[in-house]
Amino acid sequence: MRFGCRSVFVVVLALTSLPFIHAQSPDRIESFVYSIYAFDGQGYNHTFSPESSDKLYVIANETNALVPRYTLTYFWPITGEQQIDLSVLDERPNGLIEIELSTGETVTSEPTEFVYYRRNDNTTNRWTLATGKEARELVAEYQQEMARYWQEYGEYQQRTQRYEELMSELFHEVARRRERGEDVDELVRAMQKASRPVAPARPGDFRNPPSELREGYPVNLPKGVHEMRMRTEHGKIIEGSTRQIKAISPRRSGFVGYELIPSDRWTRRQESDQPGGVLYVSEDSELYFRFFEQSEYRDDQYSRLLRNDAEEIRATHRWVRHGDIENPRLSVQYRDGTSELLEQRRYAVRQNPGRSLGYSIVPADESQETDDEHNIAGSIHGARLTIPPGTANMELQVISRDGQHLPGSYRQVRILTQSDRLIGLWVLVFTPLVVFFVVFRVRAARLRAISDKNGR
Amino acid sequence: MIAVHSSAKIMLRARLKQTLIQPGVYVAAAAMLAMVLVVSQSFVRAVDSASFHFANDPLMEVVVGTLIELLGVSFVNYLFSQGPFLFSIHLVAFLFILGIGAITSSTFAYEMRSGFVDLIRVAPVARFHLSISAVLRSVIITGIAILGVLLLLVLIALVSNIFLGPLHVAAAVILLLFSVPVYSYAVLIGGIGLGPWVSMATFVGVMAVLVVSTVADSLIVADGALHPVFGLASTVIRWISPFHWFQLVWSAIQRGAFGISVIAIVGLVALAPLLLWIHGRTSERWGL
Repeated sequence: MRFGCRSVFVVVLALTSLPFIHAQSPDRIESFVYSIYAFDGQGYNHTFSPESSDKLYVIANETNALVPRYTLTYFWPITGEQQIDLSVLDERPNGLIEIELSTGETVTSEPTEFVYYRRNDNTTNRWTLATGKEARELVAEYQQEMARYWQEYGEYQQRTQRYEELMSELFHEVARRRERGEDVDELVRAMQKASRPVAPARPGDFRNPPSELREGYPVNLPKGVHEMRMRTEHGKIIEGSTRQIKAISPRRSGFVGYELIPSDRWTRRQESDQPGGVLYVSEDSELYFRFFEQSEYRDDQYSRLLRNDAEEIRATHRWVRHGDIENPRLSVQYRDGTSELLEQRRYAVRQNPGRSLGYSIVPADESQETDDEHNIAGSIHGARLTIPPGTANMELQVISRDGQHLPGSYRQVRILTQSDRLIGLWVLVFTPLVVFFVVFRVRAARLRAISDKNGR
Repeated sequence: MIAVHSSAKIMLRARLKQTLIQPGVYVAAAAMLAMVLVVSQSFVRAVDSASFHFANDPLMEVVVGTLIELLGVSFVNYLFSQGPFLFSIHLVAFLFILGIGAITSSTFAYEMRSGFVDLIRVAPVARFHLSISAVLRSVIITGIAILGVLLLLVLIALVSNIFLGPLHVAAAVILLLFSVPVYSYAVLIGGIGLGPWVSMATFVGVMAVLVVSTVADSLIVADGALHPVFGLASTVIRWISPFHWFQLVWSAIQRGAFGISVIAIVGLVALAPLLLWIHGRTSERWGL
């Protein structure tokens, strides 16, 4: 009977809990949205501005692209972010984007195809947003290059297969002849003579290939807060299309940031972005330095440039890393007055052969002579600084191609001595207490003297 | 006039002598030095072949992690960009100044209540000298304590090869200047006729409000719905907050705008006479 009651209780509980079992399916709202392809200093970032957002952010004097569309927006509570659902609704309104600049002047933007990319040359280490015919030609150029590459790669694979088959055949033939006691010199020579096919190089024109070809409205605005709206072909303002567009600029720019790669932990890279900063390292360190341009932006503005619905955080600033500095040299000034100039080079991280863990970092050209690509765990492109034994301090500065000291590139390197040497200083902590004891004794003695005098 | 001037000096001397026999001041100074050493040792332990990495030391991990949560990674990067000294000097000086401020507020309230002030009133002492001697006493003690910390930093720098530069000396001077309006607040609160303990608690509460009003809009934890409330309160109150002027000074120094930093220092120090003037007016009007 007791068991029966319990069963009924469990069934009732299960039934009453049914209405509370539900999936996470937030409401979707149809909204006029601007998809923003904004240059963020490092590349092009995608975010969007729904109707609930009154302001969108771009970097001043950089070309960005806006894609207006009607789509569904919803709030995703798990990540706390606004999302768009293009799979159900993605309708592009026709018309012009009109921007009333803070100066009072009005500019318009027409729809055009665009791509963004970065070329792989030493002269323009910058992202570019190409539009119209240029964009289409770039995409076609890249597709042709890739088609050629894949064709060459296919041929390479065929050659490799033939090579493997030949080597296998020769190997077995050598084994058979050795068993029969016959001469194998000719076959061994043939094996040595056969060369392994070399893989074709990937197309090197683009460091970052052109993005997908999209249609949008390019905008390049001066610093300030501007009013933006979209008009139909008949000149009517589209409902929900009005926004403020804030073109931001850095507080400081053109400064140099460092990336440090220690040779004993090459995957744990550190950055030094504060001009005049001090880099503390332990003794016997070997460091690889890379250098990049950086600018300092307000945290809230830059966060909203990356994600339009980011929570607003004011007052603090952050350094934003841009492209690498072209052909930099590192000037190292030692305490004894000597100095040296270090060039950037390519290094390969070579895994130790066999199963044991470990690696060594060697110049990339030496590595190619001795290893195949399976032994290479990674690569470093930087200036190598080996700290000489007994060195306490060094001063670093980055020098440009034309011999100029780059602004904000001054750093100090200090080799720290171990913390146990500080233990002796704990004696000093008790100094104030000793002073108090002395003062207390003196005052007490003085008071005693006064009371003795009065008593007498 | 000469009598009044010399009486202010005598009062200051008397107050300093009074402070000399307060054990709390010595304990606070010893605690400051201990904290500086602990932070420096932690920092040294957190340095490896790839520079300072706070996760290498448990204390640094807690301290830096909390600071990043509250103030953001870029500010913390700046704070530790030249080593641990900028952080440790601010940590200990803030605690010391706020502690001495609370004591100043309490002792001033006690003096007002116990009739010490009435006794002095019969002597040729201006009300302003009464309060300024209390402020100066605390500033002098703070100066000695900060000097002690700087001397310890010099020794740590020599032993451990940690960088001690002009920025740290500037920080010490700015902190000393910052203490002047804080102690003026202490005297203002101590002089409104509350009991010593209530004065102390009020001082702590007022300082908390001034801190929050200054950093509210940069606090990462104050985001979301609360942020506009914090922002509005901050816009109104921060101009009378020494913390706000202090922040302006550092912001200007950080970006190399030395003209603005001088203006901000003037604004910081100018709060003190303003507060003491308010103290004089209110105590006169209320007959305190």
